[in-house]
Amino acid sequence: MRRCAGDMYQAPAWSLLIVVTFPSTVLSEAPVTIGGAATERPGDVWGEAASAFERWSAGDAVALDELVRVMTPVLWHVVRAYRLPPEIAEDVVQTTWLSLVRSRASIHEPAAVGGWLTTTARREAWKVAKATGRGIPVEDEELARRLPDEGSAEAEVVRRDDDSQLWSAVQQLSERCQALLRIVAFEHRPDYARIAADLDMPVGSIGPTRGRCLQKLRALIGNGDDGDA
Amino acid sequence: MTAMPELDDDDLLHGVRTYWEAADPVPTDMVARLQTAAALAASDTDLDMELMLLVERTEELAGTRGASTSAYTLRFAHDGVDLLLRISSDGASPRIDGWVVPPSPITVLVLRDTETLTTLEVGDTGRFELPDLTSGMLRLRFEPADGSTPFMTPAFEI
Repeated sequence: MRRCAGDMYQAPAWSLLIVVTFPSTVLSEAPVTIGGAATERPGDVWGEAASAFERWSAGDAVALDELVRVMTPVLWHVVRAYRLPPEIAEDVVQTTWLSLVRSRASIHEPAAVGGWLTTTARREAWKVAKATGRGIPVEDEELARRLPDEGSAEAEVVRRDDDSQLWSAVQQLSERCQALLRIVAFEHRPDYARIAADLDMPVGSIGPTRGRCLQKLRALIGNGDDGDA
Repeated sequence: MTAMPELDDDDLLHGVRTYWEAADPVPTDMVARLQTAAALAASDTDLDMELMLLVERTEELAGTRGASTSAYTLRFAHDGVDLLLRISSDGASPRIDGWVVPPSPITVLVLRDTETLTTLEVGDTGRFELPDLTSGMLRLRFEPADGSTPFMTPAFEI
């Protein structure tokens, strides 16, 4: 391991490679947050959520606002990985919060609240996706690889604003890899058994598939010139 | 090809998060909408407290002096009670001028996080003032003198 718990967070190595394409305003900052996004590690987010949940359970009504603020972005990304339209994704996230409020007495361990929320959100997203004929694509990774011209509107915005190797690499991943990595990236200690069920994949294959998707991403980043091939 | 530093899985997953946060960000105001929905649901399960709803927010145009002393008004309502809050600033510190309509004797608690910053009694006029506040999230809790159910605003920023 290159890092230990408690270490100051270091910028990932590739940020040093791609930061040269950023506007000077970003360059003047340490390249810790790529593109200016306030990317927090899931472990930190889960810790804040646990603290807020504990205070809310102790009677601090305002702490619920904090819990919602901290965890809603995570739930958004997990739910959107199921290819639900924004309005439906927001409904799923709202359903998740209402479930939490109803079930709060059943969560005895504050540290469990992050996992409880993402599991509930994934389960609900999967249910809604299935009912509406959507969901995470199951085609072979290679066949499902997105062609450059199929980029979504939001991807175009990204390309214009910040045409980095990383972003072009993520866009070249198959949709299935994108979805799996999106879920895994925002989760803290993902529950592979549960994710496997949601993705219609055998439990034992999640780890290897995750590894393959990461390896592919690693190769695409290291091979930036292939971005438009 | 120059030598590439090996990226570990954490680096890559950090990159994936960065990508999605920019490519498909959380919609504007979604967090605020969900905070209200969650607080409302929570108030249903807390039998000793009811939540007021924000029904109106009005910005006042800044004065001709062009100073950064813009003020705004929030209106909350619950069960026939209206609460108007005018949030402005006295120099550096924010202040709130409040009106409870219809006016009736009531105790106002100013809450921030787990603390009660101030408690004050509002008389027959229904008016109250909270000068010298500090910026941040606040929430007000009202306890009617006649013993009816207390009510509370959602958290709002000053």
